[in-house]
Amino acid sequence: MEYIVQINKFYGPFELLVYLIETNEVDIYDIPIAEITEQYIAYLDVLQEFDMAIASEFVLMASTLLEIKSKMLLPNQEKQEDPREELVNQLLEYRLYRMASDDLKISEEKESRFIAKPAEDFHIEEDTACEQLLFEEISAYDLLYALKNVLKRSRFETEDNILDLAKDEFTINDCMDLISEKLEILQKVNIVEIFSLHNSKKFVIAVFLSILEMSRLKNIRLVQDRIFGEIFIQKA
Amino acid sequence: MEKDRVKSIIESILFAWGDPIKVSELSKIIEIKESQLRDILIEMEQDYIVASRGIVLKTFGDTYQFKTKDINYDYVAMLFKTNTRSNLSTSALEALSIIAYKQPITKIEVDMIRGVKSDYILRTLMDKDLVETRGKLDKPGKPIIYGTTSHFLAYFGLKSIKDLPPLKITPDSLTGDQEGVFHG
Repeated sequence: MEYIVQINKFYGPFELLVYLIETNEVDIYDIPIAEITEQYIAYLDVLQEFDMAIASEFVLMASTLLEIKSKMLLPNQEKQEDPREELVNQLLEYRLYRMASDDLKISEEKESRFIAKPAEDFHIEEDTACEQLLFEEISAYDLLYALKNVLKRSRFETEDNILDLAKDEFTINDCMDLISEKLEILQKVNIVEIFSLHNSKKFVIAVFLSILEMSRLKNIRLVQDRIFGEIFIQKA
Repeated sequence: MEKDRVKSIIESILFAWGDPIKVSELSKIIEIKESQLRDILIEMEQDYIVASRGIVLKTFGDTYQFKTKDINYDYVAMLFKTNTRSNLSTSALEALSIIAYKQPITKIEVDMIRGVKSDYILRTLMDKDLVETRGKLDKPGKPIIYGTTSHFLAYFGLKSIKDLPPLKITPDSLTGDQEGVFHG
């Protein structure tokens, strides 16, 4: 039962093996395979007793240990290589980085005593300087908000109550072409600029849909310099 | 521009910015040569060592940043509501040290050394901006290779990656690809 306290301690088979080798104070170059294998499997048994999932890596290592153990039992006909050799080399390499990580832990502890402060919010109204702080990944809500603003800004006639089944004046494809053309000339286009090309609600809607479509197709990228700020289109 | 004036500007920028800032960036802002700026920054590092100052000028990679002095930590820590500091787990440090010493390295190589899969840990390390991808290896399967970030240096207080303590290899322990960092 002495293993219980260590149940959550080991994340990998090498970690467990190195622990067993160190606590048994045995020579890593001359591991008493029978003893270590027994203890290793006893640990897995304890895990199982407590119904904890055993990672497949641990099981694989158990079989490797058993294989080495059985090879060691075979009479040494020829002077063959030590069946433990490969495992020992792996353990040595693991232990090397394990020790290096102990050093890193000390550095982490030391450095955490120096405290840095978070950057100031350099968001300045209507300043081109803030363009460097572009937000990527604009949400659909940001777009919706921009659309709402455009619709509010332009004085569309309130013809809404009349159902108009006229032919589409502006198709999404046309608008996509229009945006592409703009981006050929300019690196970055403000979406409000495109919305304002025609004072028509249908046009705004077509542009809006084409922006959604183009960003879905990853033809364009939408960037924004701050929350609720203006949205720009860039070529993806 | 007078040197004291430059120092004063640097101090304001570093204070306001908070994050590490590149020497090249400072040079662009203040409009003085990088070499000249470097000399001034080295002088400033010394200026802050004085016992009466509570701020130190830290340098990692090619960046500079203000931090509070470590000897004052216990006092500053009195302001923390709870222990908000979260150190890296043993497994994370293990994977991170393998990446730091063997970069650029593939995930499989990390897995091999640790004897266990490192997918989740690798993602955590990337989320913490300690590890980044460095492109793909030109081998079958095009495995992604990983390396440490400049934030890694800042996090562990290393001036550059060469500042990592040498691996403690004993003469008879390893053969092969470790000669480069051999320290008996």
